Amino acid sequence: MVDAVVAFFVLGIIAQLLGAKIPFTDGLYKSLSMFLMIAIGLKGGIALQQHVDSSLLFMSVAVIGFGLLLPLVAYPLLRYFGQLDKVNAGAIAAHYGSVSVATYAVAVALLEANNVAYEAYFPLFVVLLEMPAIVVGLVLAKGNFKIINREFIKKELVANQSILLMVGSLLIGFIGGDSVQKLAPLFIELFPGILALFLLKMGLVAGEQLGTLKKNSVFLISFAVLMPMLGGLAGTGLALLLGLSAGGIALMAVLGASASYIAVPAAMKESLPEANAGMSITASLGITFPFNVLINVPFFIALGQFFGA
Amino acid sequence: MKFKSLVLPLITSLCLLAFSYFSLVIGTSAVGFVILAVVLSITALLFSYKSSFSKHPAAYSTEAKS
Repeated sequence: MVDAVVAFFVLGIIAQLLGAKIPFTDGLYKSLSMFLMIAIGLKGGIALQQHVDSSLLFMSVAVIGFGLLLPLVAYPLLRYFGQLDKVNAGAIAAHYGSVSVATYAVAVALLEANNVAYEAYFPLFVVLLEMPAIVVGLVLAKGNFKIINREFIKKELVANQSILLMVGSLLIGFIGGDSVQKLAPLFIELFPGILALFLLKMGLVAGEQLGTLKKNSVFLISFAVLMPMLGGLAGTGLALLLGLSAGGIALMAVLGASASYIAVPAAMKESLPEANAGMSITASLGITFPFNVLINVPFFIALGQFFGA
Repeated sequence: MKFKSLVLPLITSLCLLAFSYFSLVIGTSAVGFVILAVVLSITALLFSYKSSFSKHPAAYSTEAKS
């Protein structure tokens, strides 16, 4: 049976393919993505109050290493099989090394719907996985480390919207104590409903991106399907090494499988304006996101339960 | 289309089939993986067949769009 939240994503794709005009302003879309980031951060912060320990530091280092590794897997595939130039291969590799908050949110919603427990500190891993791939992708594209300067760090790390909102909410949830419960009716209880609305919009966008695929996109489709499977398997392996629970295994796999379409495109637009943004976004949003939401996430949840049992 | 450009679609299809097998082992639906593997293989082979008759096989454009 298809989950009701995920069904809204399918509805969005169908509506777009049928040419239905569903008004969805950019402001609403941005507000919904802000809501998801704050809700994920708050939930993580509340749960972290009871679960913080020293092993988290070791796990965080392992997760950053994972984020550095993924673009190094994607890059040779793009260069050798896709025959892309360094700039485009580096830009797409960065998208696939980073994470999608929406894919993570879908996985969390499905885990909670199936009463599968997961580690409370996962929002921290989502934040940690946002940045390393951007750095590796840029270094691969440029062939040197000169681009990683103070201005880059300030703009992409310190003032990055997703990182700031999620880290800020995580800290508020962590230090807010009982007062955070006042926010629960909006950010916790309404989470599945708002996610469904967000996925409706994502379905519309993904449907639009699918329409831009040309006949000669066989390589791009293959890459955008293969990479999440490889990333998901790598994530599963890392979660098993770290000894995570069934839900934790599923979430780490989903983080490895997901590709960014918010933080990385913005960073690439700024740092690699010569890269073909359309190609990256078609792959990550038009192919990988639907593949993950409809097929990969349920698979990795089942795989997590299989290994975690 | 060169043989090299067929390799990735075929590797991907094989991985999808492997995932569908794992799905059956762990007791979840394998339909999505199987459908995708079949569609991708057929698309890649059809495209390969078509472009072998084309004088100017198209490659994916990496030009930035305005």
